[in-house]
Amino acid sequence: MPEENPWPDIVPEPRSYVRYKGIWDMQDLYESIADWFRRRKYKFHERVYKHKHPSPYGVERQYIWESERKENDFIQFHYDMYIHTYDAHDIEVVMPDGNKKIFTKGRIWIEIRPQVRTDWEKRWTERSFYAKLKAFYAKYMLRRDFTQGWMPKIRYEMYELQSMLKARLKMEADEYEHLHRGGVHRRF
Amino acid sequence: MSELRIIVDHMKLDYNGIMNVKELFKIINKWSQERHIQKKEDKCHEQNLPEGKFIEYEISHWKKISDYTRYVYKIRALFQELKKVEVAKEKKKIKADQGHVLIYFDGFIEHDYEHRWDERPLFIFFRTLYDKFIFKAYTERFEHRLVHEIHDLYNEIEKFLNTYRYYKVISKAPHF
Repeated sequence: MPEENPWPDIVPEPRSYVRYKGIWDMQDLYESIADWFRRRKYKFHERVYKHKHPSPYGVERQYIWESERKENDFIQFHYDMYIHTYDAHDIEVVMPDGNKKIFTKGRIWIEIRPQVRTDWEKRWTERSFYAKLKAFYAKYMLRRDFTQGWMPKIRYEMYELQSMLKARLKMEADEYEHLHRGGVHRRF
Repeated sequence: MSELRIIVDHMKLDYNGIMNVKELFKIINKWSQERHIQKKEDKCHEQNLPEGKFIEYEISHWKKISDYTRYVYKIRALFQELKKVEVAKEKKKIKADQGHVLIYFDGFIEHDYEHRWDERPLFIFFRTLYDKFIFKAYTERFEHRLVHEIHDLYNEIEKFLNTYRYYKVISKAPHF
């Protein structure tokens, strides 16, 4: 059945996952993510940091991060990030220049959930007439802006973040084809 | 529900030898970018195991042909026992990967992806009638084009992997 309003208050985009087993620099990963959001003018919040009792295999940690950016007075981009590390323990590695650094060895699971939030100021929900007007506005007047503007924008932004994460983890599939996309004629 | 038909069913590419994994991913991404195909990464798993890297990479591409039909391409790549090696290419040493790769290609055609014709049974009946009889020539042409595009990617990957046929392994390095 077709939806009444294809663009509800929260429009989710496809999630993205990264799973990795090996050695990585957690401090660098942490800083890179925060910096990535900061450079794109997102407000970044760490909602949960959970450190579980270590097992013989290592430490289990959970991070839940949120970030949001106001695109305009109707649209807001929102990211939920979930990071879970398993069997993590610190190891000392020798860098090519001879310096020693502390890295993490174990398994990591990263989940990125982007969303486009409409009417974040809740100005269109005061009256039922406004709600209907909003449905009409989103369905007919902003349809192209959603399908060709905000949705691809957040999706490709998410893949940019994902490829950055893969590059920090030194994974093989860190290729991102839109990395050098021109930004001069961007509509959104 | 929209009608999803499988056109290319599990086309398989199996290769064992020397390759460059990063370049391989680049080829897949370039192929999608050149054709303005949207992508969705379903899986990207990488594990460093004692016998080598294990990578599982699954990606679904889609492309809207009209407001009624779209192509869905699914690519699943499995890399096993991947190790970094040094190879000689034109008398120069370069780094490459050695291992086993298995790639599956699937191609689907999705009709009525906006679910406009599945509200009532009568609509579904008309939709089927339209696809199979009235719009038959176009439906078949879409199928041919999908098969052609997947074969195009298959050939490109095959061509890329064959370029490494004449390399010689000089030394083996640990994979991480």
